[in-house]
Amino acid sequence: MRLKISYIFLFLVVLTHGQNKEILYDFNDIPQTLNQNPGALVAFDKHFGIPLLSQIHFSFGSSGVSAYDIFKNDGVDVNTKISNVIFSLSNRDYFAVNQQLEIINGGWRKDENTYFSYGIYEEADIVSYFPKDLAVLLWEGNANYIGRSFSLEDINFKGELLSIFHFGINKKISKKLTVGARAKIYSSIANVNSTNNSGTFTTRESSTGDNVYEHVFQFLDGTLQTSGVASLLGDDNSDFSKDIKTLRKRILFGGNLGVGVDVGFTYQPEEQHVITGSLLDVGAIFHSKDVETYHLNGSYTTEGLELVFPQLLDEDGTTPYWENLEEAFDENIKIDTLRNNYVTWRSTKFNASYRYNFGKGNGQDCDCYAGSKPYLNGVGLQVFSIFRPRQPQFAATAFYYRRLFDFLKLKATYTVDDFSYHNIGLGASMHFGNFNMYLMGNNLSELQNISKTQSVSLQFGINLIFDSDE
Amino acid sequence: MKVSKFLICSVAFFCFLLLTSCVSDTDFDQAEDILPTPVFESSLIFSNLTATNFIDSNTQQEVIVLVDTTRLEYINSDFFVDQLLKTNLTFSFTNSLNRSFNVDFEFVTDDNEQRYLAQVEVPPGQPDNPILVVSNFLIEEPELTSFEEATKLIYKITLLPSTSPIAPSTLGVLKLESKATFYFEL
Repeated sequence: MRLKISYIFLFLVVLTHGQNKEILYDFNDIPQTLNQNPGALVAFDKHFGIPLLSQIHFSFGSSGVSAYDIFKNDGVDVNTKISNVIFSLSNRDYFAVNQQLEIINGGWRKDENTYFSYGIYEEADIVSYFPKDLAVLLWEGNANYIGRSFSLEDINFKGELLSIFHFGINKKISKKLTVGARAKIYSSIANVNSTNNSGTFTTRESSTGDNVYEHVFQFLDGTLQTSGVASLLGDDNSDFSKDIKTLRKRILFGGNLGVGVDVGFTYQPEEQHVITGSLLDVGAIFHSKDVETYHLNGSYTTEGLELVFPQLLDEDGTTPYWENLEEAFDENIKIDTLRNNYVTWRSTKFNASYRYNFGKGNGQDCDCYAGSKPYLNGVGLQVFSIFRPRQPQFAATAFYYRRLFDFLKLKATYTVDDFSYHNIGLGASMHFGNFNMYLMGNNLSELQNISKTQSVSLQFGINLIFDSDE
Repeated sequence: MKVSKFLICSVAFFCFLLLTSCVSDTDFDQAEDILPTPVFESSLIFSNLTATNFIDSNTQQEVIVLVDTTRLEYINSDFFVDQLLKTNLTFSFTNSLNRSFNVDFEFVTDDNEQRYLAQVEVPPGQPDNPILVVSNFLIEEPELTSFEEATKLIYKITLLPSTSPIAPSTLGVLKLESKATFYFEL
């Protein structure tokens, strides 16, 4: 039964978007906002997330293509549609998957101006640029591209599975300014990345005139770094449960460790104007355990096999042309397996927002640390950016926040990013006594046909929130 | 009982979105029809033979047959056997020797059993007026299966009898360029 429920939750959150959590950001009624901005305004005294249920997040984004582009039922041959997609995408298009599961999340107020929070969460983050040249070469071959160079540079991806232990301090410096910082320890369970490749493969008319074509491998230089993978793939046991045990150890500081920090602030120059900003995951992971790096390097040109009809033959009566070609290739293009330590930088995220509050209500609720009744409405703008291997990705969001009742707060967003220009999101935070449940999703307008969406995001969580003044 | 009413409303709203969200106008069965069909062009063998190649170094006489062999391991590789749909071999001769040649390209197994034979007749040319012969051999099933058993290529040139045999000083070149076009179905 428990398994069934978790599948249902997985299904709930399987429809999603990049790492931007535009609905959760600056949604101060929800404790998880502190993970988006450690300097957010905290209006409660204590919180504790229901373990494993305090935040479930899974996201998917594809900047240039949706499943609908390939599988739409229009009578066109699927292979033609794939060809069209391959040619419409560029090597700047990307696919991103991000999934997070909070294992523990909690926090308490030390004094009027200081709030501590802590937690553990698991995260999987994969981003791959579209390897256009490789895709064209594999899909079509080189026959139609005599003279064109296929670049290795298009291969650019990274993937990481890790657990994160964090502790944050939120400090109200003055009536106008609140700042926060969060220290993080990363335990990388597995990492693969290949982000710095170069070199070309070209088939062109022979420059010497000796044969029809020459095949040119020029300045090939490719690296694939892995950690935590070789031991799982290389072991002889096919016993999956053993591998699971290994992974479980790595979740608890047993992996490759790293450190990082989140910082953020809230600045309220006047009561109705709120400016926030945060920088998340400024950090690195140091890979030294179970490291395996594959390095491809070299240049080689061949026109094929020249048969010279020697008068003096070897014992077999032949010259080993083929073996000579293989040897020359191996000598000139090397693939080495290295065990050097390496460092990966986390994908740093940047958030900033401006909010204008208006309309005070007559409710019983009070924003006690703000020292006054809360505003019922907020409108504003947010920007988000994440630093990815090739270039940063950006998103801009306009939002409307509404405190509909003391027990129900809503936030609606409209976001423009690489995936879509019409992304509408909605989030609700419900509060009953100490019990808080939130649910948020974006790209709602496209949920009517999921196959058309290039990204969706859905988040869900349950917390207990305590406020001594209530 | 406002509380439960709104909770129900909110949850119902999300459930509505989720339940009504669907995948329409799509046919994922099309995935079974996905069939990449790349076409690769590859250089094959080449040679530049002058008069001296056709003279036996011991007897200083013109040879009758000239033979050389190379392995072509990939023809018999699993990838080729499984994925190759057809192939086209192009042999292009430029002859400026004043002799006719019969050329055999024999694709054989390790035990020298012939699996495919491509034959080209090259008419005589002149040093200042070379003759060009381009021959294409399209290999499809059922020949392809046999062809894919080959691991070696024997390149055999037979000189047809002539009243003016090639001497060391004879001018001209017999030049071969070749390529293969491989049609795969992955």
